[in-house]
Amino acid sequence: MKFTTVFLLPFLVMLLAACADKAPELALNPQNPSPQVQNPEITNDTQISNMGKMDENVQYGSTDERIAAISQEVQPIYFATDSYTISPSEQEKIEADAQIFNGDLAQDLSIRVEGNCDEWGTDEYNYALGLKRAKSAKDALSIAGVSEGRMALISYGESKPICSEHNDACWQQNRRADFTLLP
Amino acid sequence: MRKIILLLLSSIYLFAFDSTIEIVKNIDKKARIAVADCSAGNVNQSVNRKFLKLLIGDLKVTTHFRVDDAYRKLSYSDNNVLSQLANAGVELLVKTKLESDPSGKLVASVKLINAKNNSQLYEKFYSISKPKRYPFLAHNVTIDINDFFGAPPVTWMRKYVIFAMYTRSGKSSIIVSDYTLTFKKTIISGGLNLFPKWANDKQNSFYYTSYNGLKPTLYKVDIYTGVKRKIASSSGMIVCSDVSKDGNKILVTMAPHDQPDIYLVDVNSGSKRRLTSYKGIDVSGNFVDNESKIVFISERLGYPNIFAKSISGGKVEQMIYHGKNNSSCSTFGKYIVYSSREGRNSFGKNTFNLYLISTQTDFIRKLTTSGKNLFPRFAQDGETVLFIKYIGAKSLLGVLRLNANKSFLFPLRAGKIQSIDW
Repeated sequence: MKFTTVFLLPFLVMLLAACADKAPELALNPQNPSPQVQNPEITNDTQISNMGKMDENVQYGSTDERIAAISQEVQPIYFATDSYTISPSEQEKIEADAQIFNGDLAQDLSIRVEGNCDEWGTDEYNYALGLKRAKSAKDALSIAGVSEGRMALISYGESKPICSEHNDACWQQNRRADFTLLP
Repeated sequence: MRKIILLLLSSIYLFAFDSTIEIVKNIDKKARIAVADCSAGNVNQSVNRKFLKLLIGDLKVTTHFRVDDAYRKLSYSDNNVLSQLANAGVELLVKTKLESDPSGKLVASVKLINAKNNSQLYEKFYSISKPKRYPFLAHNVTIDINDFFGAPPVTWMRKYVIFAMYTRSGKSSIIVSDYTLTFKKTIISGGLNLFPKWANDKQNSFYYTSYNGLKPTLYKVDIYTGVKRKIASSSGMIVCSDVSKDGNKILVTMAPHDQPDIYLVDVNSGSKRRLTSYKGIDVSGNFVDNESKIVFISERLGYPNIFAKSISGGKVEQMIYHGKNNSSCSTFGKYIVYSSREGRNSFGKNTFNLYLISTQTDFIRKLTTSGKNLFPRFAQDGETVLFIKYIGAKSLLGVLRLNANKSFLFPLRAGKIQSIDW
């Protein structure tokens, strides 16, 4: 009897230890849960496809159509009264417009920068002020990377108002530099 | 009678030595004048009525008479009612008989009569081959009546006014008219046509800017033949602002390097000399001091103001120390009339008014008080200023009589006046 207990007891201890290992405890890190816990719905028969890289290519029937499409994205630059300085908020538009002008669709086009004024003051002075606004816009675009050789200036003074109401909002709309794309 | 009127007018004008001093006239000393319709049956009565109305208006604009504007129908030859008119205080009577002759000409027969003693002062006949230009008949009648009494001449009344008019966004026409805008003829139309400027005193040609080509271009046009000649072109802008007395040189604002500056251009050789070099705005040059200097608009002090410099070079002199925005001016001898905004507020009801200064005194005289008053232009007599007035959306041509301190306004029914010259 004593011989059996001495030889069998270690085997019993080892057997108990092995059974305890059959079900180990998982110390889950709540900060980084295992992927299996995150996506319990994914099973072995789930199919995942990827989009793959696509080259986008817009074709226009004519240059005029291309210019019309690009022009819709271009923003005019607005100025304060009696001023031809470009404000920081307008500078953002210059950056955006420069990207458009240097983009694939527009890089072969010329740009006419057109200065405009509100109705206040004598028109002869306003034509000069409009020209200075156009020049400021051109210089800003040049700094933003648009080739100077692509740009020509013209002033329209107060001859091309967008609106005709006599209020601050309308006058602000008319104090602007426009961009016309040309083949 | 004539001597009395002459004496009265002379005594009043003794105070007109410096136009910057306001004149207060004693209205009772001006002769009271009336106009009578003695027209024949073969004339268009609508034209006749308009002619009479213009004649009455012209006499008022001279500011040398008290005008009775009641309508009177009288016989051209019968003087029986004259004593009644005299009793009503009428001292002078202008009898006018308007009729069409067999060749289609419009003929005006005019008698000037002293209503107090029934004496005929003179009889004259005026004719015009183009009846649509009847306003000039009225103007010529008025000029002669005014001259008869030795009053300061009003010969500017027979001058053509030329102006550009915006018809819609990006479109403008050039029109020749009389000073009341009654007669109008479109000379240039189609596209954007701006800044007309008479090329000489005879008014047989003018300069203007066309935006209808690749670049803004300055042309000279003969108004009788319609022949057009290119003078110069410039990227950005080009405007003729003044013409020398001999017509051989013009002052032009142009921007060949994207920079608006004033240039002296020889119209015969085409040579150009740059007169200003400020990096900002220099515009609207006008000859002064026997064309040895120019007066011009510049924002070199941070706002539009009026400066002068010698044509041969040298320093720039500030001329006006008043106002916050002085963007247009005209000169006559020692006088400068300019448009000025006094307040810092850019917008408002009374923001641009006309002022008169003498380069030899410190006086500033305010000439207008309401509306937006721009683009003043002296007449050749130096006593009358033409200008543009905007009231809301309306454009009006203004005529300012400096010595009488009165202005007269003539509305444009459609369109917006952009620039003027006479």
